[in-house]
Amino acid sequence: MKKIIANKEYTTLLRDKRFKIMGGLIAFLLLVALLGGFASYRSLKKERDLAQKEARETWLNQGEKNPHSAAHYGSFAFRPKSEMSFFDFGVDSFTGTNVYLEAHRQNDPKFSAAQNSSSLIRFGEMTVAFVLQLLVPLLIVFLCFNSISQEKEDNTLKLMLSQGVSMSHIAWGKIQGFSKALEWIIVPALLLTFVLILIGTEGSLSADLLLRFALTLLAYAVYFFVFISLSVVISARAGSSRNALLSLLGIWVLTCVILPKATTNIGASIFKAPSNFEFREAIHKDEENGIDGHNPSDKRFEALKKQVLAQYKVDSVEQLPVNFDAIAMQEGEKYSTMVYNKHFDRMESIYQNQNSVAAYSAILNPFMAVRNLSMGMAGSDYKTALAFQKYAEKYRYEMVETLNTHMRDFSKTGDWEKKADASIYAKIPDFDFKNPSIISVLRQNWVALLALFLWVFLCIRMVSNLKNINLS
Amino acid sequence: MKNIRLLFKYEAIGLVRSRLFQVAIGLLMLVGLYAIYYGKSEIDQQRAVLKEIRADEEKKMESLRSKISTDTLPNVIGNRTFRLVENPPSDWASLSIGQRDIFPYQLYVRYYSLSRQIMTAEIANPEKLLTGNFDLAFVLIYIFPLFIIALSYNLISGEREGGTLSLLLSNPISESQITYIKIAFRWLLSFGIALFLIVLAVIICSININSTLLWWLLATALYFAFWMGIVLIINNLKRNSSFNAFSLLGAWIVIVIVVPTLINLYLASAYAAPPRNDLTQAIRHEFEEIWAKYDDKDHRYQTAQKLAAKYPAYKSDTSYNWEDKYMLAETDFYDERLAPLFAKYQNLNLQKESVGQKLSVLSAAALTQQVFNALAQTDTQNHYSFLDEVGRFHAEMKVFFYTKIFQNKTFKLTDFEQIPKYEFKKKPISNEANNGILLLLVSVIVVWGIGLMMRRFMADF
Repeated sequence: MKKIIANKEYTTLLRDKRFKIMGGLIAFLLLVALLGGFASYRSLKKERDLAQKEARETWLNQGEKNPHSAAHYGSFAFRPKSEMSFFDFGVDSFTGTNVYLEAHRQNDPKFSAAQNSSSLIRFGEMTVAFVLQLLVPLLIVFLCFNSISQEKEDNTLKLMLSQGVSMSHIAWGKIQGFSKALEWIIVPALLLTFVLILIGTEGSLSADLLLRFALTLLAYAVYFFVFISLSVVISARAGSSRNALLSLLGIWVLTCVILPKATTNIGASIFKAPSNFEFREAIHKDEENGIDGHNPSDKRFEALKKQVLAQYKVDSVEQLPVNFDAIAMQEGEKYSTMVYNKHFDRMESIYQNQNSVAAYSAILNPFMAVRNLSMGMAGSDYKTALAFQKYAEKYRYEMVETLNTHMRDFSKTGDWEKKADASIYAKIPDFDFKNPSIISVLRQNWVALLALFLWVFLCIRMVSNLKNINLS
Repeated sequence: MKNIRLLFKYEAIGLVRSRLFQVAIGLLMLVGLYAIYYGKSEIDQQRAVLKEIRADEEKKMESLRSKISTDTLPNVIGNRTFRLVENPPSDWASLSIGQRDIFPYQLYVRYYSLSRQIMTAEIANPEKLLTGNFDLAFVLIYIFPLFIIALSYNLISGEREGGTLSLLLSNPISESQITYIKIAFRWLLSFGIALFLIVLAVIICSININSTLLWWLLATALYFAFWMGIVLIINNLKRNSSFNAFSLLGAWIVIVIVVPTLINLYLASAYAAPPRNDLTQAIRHEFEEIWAKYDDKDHRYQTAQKLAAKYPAYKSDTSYNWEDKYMLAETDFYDERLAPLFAKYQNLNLQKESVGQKLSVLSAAALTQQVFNALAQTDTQNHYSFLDEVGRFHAEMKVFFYTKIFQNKTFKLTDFEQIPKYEFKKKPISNEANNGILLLLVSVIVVWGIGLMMRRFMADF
């Protein structure tokens, strides 16, 4: 019986004009979003890969220099585009793309797309994820709002029930039918996504990427299931089709438009983050207590000097077999990096707290769950951007450290002229950032995962517990 | 007249008694109040940051002043003089935060090379930037149309389905008159609530009342009139309430969500933000060149000659403070060489912005947002005019210190008092606001024109 209902729903839906119009529109938007997103992904990826290559080449071919001059000359790190980021832009447009790596300074990533876009960017970006998260639920609402209420109003529900089918059977049948019809819109888009991923990676599809894609599919499947079953349940319970439509639209507006914004902003209001000025000022204050490699005047410097002299058993820096300036600079670098990391981590934890309010709201709001999971899987989430920033800082530190160490060993104190062989530059490895593993993405999004599980469970319960209406 | 009053009265009674309306009004008030609170707290925070930096600037200048002795060189003071150039939020910024959370709104400026100072960004939580601000502009642009739809989806169809339409029409009043009266009533009601919220915001954020308020209200009124036009069009199709709700929401999605995001997609693929490799490489490379030639006496002399040819006032006397003068000359040429690259990217962005603005004609929501941002001076143009201010003030500082340094004089306390200080001057509201309102008016005329023509067409049918 369930199958018959499902088939009937499926065939009538395919013939339904509403389905054809709205479904066609959404399929069209999916296509546009896919092709547009892929085109911009391709051009960004090409430009950044090229920029990274160029940065490496200028680094390697900067010519013979004093190692510290080379550290000042520095290099650039460009955030690589994740392979699936054309599917979901996530926060990519709002994070910096390019970090200047130099001695003594931890620079912020600069040039976010948002700063270089029209202000319309605040309306959102048309990506596949955007269509799937925001518009497909609405399509579901429009298709399913009268699925059972209409049968009630036409008195066909009584007929069905009198044949001994239970209400939940009818509901399950409807859910199956709707899901099947929906596949006509979603599956082609996802197939095309897969093809584009293959094109983007030039066929070298990694297991990690495959798993990311599969989990993304699963998350969206669950999300749509939640909306379909919720719509059918509300349609069964509502007094009239009109009421069902209004409540479902209300739910959609609340979950997809109002709550995401409200929860994110409430998070930011509860956990106040420092401004750029306060952040830099706090670092500066802490650094003043430390030594600055270029200003050999304060206590730490003296202590370091004493320690190094004792280590080499000599009386003055001139007698040292190594370059004391390099040692002092390295100590300064170490200290300032430590201070920077401390403040950076503190700010990070504030942002994390801010975001956790929205993340926890996933328990009430499946939209949030799927949004966070989708971004995470696409490698366009905040955590991935953060990992890049941390990687770049670590790379910077190691670059400066290598050069300082070289300077320490190959020249004497006070010698800022001696040039190192250009081969030293190759000792610094390529900048090769890799996205965090899928496990860490899942671990970060445990709330979203839990929420989706809970929602599936809740929906199954709600559908199964639908009571037969009074037949009299 | 009597009919109008009567219809208004019964519409009001009917609405007040409806559960949907009670819930909707409650929700709207809640959301509106939160938006006002949120906007205020965000902008207050920016004001607090500016206040803190101003105090910091004063403190730093005070300590610098105490270091001045009889033989202080001007370059010593110049190198340590950081002046705050700020872009404080306008009164209205709390109502429409716009792009203020993305762009930096303050910069410490030194007389030294400008190119090495202006590439700063405000740090922010990207997830928050992605979700955007829950300000009053958001409520007016996103939520109010939904309220209008909830009030109007069964404008006439409700009467028809309830069987009261024929009763109503038995009075000496036509269906179109009823439609217009009902639409006018709903427009007045929505605008009244919006007016209440805007006035409340003006009071809570202690905004000085000026003509901006009128422009703001006009934009709101037009935006709502646009939605009433959409209601008229859908209503004239004479379909059932479910169909109306369905199509009105469809219109909302297209106008508020789909069109603006499609414009973005177009802009993102047609004008992809380049990584600015040439600019960043040039900033680094050109600077290194300066240092590489630092000890080249011949080059140093030629550079000084070049500067003197460009600015006769900066003629170098090689006997005194020679290295610094060389650096000053070089940084001047450095900025000059980099300027075209900066201009290139700024023009690219402005071009993108203007294409975006032109395409906004396709969506009344996008238009209204731009009007609000222009009125609140939180739009992209405002950021660029801030950058212009930075450039202007930097030039002032540069002239001041360069002159002192090239005059070979010591820096006195009286000179210290004359160090330029940045005074923020309120800028007039940009033309974008007027243009936007005009375009909004055109959109209103277009939808109403279609609605009115449809009525005639349907009558002929």
